[in-house]
Amino acid sequence: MKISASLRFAALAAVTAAAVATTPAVAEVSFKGKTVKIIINSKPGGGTDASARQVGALLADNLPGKPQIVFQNLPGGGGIKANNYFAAKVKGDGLTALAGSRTQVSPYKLRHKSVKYDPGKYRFVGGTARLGTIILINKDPKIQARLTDKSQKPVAFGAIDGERTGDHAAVWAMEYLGWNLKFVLGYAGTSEMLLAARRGEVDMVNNQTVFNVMPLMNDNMKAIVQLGNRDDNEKFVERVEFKGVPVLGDLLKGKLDAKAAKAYAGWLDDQTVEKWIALPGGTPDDLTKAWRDAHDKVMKDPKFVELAKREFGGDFGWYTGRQMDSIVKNLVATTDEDLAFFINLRKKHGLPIQ
Amino acid sequence: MKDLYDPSAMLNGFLGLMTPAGIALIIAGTVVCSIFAAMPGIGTLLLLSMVLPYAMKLDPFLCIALLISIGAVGGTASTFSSVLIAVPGTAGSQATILDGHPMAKRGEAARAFGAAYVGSAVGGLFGGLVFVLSLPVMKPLVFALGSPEFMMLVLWGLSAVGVLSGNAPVKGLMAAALGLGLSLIGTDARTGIERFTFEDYYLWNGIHLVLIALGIFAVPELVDLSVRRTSVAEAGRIGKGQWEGAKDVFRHWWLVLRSSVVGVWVGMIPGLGSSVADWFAYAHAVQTEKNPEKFGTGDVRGVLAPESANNAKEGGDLIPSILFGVPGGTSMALMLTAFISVGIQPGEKMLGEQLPYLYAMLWVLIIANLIATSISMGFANSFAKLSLAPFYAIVPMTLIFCVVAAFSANYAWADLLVLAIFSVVGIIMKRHGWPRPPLLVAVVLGPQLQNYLWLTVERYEPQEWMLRPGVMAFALLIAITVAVPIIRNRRRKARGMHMDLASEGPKVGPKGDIAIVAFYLALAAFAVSQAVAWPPKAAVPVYAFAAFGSALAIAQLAISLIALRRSDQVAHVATEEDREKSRRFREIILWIGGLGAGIIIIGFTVTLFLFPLLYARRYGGGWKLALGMGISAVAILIGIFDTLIHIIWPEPLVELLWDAIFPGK
Repeated sequence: MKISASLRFAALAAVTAAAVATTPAVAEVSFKGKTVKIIINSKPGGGTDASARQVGALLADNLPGKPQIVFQNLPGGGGIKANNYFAAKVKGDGLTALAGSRTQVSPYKLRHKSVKYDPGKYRFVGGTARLGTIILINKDPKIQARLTDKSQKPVAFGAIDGERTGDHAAVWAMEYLGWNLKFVLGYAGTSEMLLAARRGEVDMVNNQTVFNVMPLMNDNMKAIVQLGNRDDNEKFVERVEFKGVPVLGDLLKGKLDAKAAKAYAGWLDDQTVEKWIALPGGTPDDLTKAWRDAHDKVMKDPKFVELAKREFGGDFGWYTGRQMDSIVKNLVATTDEDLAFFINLRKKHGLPIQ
Repeated sequence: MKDLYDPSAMLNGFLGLMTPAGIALIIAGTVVCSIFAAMPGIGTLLLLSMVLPYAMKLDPFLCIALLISIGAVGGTASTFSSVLIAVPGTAGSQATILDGHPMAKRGEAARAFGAAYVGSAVGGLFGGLVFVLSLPVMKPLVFALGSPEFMMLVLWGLSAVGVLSGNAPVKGLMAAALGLGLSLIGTDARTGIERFTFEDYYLWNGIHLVLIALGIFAVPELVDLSVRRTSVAEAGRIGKGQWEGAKDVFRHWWLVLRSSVVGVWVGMIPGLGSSVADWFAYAHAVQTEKNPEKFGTGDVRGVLAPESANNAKEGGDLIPSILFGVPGGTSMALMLTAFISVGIQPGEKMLGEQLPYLYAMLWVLIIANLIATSISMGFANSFAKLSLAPFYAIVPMTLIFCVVAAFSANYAWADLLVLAIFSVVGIIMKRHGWPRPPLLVAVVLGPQLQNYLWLTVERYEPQEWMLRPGVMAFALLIAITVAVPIIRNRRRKARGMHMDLASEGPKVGPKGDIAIVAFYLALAAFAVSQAVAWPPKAAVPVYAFAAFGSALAIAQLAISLIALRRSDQVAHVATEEDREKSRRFREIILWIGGLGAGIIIIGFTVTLFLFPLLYARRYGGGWKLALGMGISAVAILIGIFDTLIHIIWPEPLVELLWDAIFPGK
């Protein structure tokens, strides 16, 4: 899993700067006998909570001195509350980290008036990559025929709140591929939405995880397009389990003008991260390095990799702390103009702006 | 489907669990879950989250043993606080309060516990049985139902508002309209509009149900107890024991089975939670049982229905999870994450080569329910004896539970403010004879109604959804369940269910009702004034609430004015007893205010030590008891909420002041 050229450049610069800096000799970091804490910015029971507890438990085993680990849930405002608290109150002593998800570093969210944190200042421990969303359509040929025929009844696209990657991808397809869609918004959750697709209440849905998508494909749905994952050459390619399913970027090729292409690239950057763990800004290098090393060890552990692949998909990917620093700094730097293009597109095609 | 009921798969599923580790995990999961469920504000979801990383490293049978045992029995032990102190232990035991707590007041807490525990076990076992038996036929049935049918199902639940309103139908409907209005608070998914959030993210997801339940039910009951100054069991004795309650399950076996079906039904629809299951079952009982006027006064049937439904729901939850890999609720979503990570594949595979795992789940459901019931029955009489404890022990400790449980909703100061607001609403409603259950039912079902209504309207043409067989069948069911009790009551000239015991506070007249109606109309006007700026999709539900609520309010105004004219003709002279009740009422309100102020100024730990100590000392408790209560409160706070859950407590004023004066120290 790779990151975009601009993000990669920033990462390289950061690495180089760190390498040339004169680092004073530091005592070896050890957390022996200490308790480290991970604040989870959501309620118990959600995806961020499960991921943080799963990775966090392994992190503690890999931190020098094998400290005790505790988890604190601090939900509220889709993660804003915990991030505000973390940025304002938590010291960079290496004993407290924050676990969050893509939403809290999204440039859209960062513009909300309640946000009082700057994730660009965090020292990221690492993160997991957001797998390319799969958009599915009912196998019924009549429904598929309606997708590109605007003289017919629009195809019903099931959605929760219009905020998911696949909902946004559908907006690009509506604008530039001429998809004839109508969003049916309001499903209470992924389960409800996927079940609605299974029983034919909605004709299209989207999801990322293999264990959600595969049962649908084995039943009445077919993968029609995927966002794809970035390869080493910055190109979006088919996911391992979804060979033969067209990649959205390929379909849009040649159809976007310069402004649209820039907005599309910016939007893709916003879809890069899935979950992350960070230390407060100002955490010393040696402590940050200890956490990052532990994180890298966890992510490379064959047992963890096997488990993650089973849970998310064969092309499960992850980012180092330095990569995350760069990705998030880039997201923070997104301008209002960059966002305005896509916001207008969403409004035009009936998706709410939250 | 012969292979589905393969005896060797059933046996292998059982044998897979019957290892020392498997047995130990089932027992541990059941016992710890029972403790968590009995403590308001913690809940089994948190426990599942905590054990998840561990469960993901286990052998598949052990993973099933641990997680299913935790998920299966949350509804059993949660009855304890619902019956004893009117505080719902979990979302699935709210309706139990309506009859369970009056039973405790009457000295029948042990009987209520016995009925609840055995009813829960029967419901749990029945849910498991239905789960297995329905596998061959459930897939087409689940697929035949869509948003229009779910909307009708929710409407069926809401139709219970009529019978839950007892002898004050207009007030009941107004309360329900208010509940629907409250359910509109939060971000509207269709438009992105933040409705009534006052530009603060605290209300983005609406008001947490537990805050409303605590405010509406628990706090007013505690205020009453404090005014009454007796033990919870008013007569000071415990009557029939838990085995009488167990017998009640068999006396009312038909109701228990019907309620279990309701629980399974709700469980198999993803998104409808435990709180829906218990209210549906309760409403069903009131609408279909003889002598509905007895409900709300401590009728054991009012305990049996919700308790059998909330455990049966767990079996229902397994249906979409196992058949389609679609979790029925949040706890099932967590379990599925762990199952998949240990190699268990829901869906076709589980109905084939992994069939022993499916039967292992069923065995755990059975064993865990039996263990939980045995343990709970063993403690039932001891729990019941707490209903004889003096008010100066019960009131402060329960208030502390309420505060901590409320704070656990979102870990925010605002939780306490919302609790305070709904406590005031609950106290006023109780004093003025406004039925409270319709409000809570509407809050529970409001979001579901809104969602399914919009999905139906967005997805289907009117003639398309209205003519669906399922919709018509539900419409018929609604008509029957609404009409039958009305006709039956008219024939028997019976009255509706009692629903709310008279308040112990000072008596109030129709003037209070007029003030409430005026406030209600002002609230509706405020809602409309906000909604005019929103797009129609976000505003229309608000207009509907305001129009419906206002029409009812005007009707109630007329009723109250007539009552006022009549009451003017009879001069009411306050007795010494009335004055004493008023004084006690003011006292407890001051105590509650003091508790809130203490938490804000000096923080949770110190206040939670001082409050029970001072309260107990003020009303006759000895130093030993008072100190014991204070220490216990702090021990619970530190032991569970600090050490186990690691709650981030908000900083009290003194700490903020200290930081301001001595920054960095």
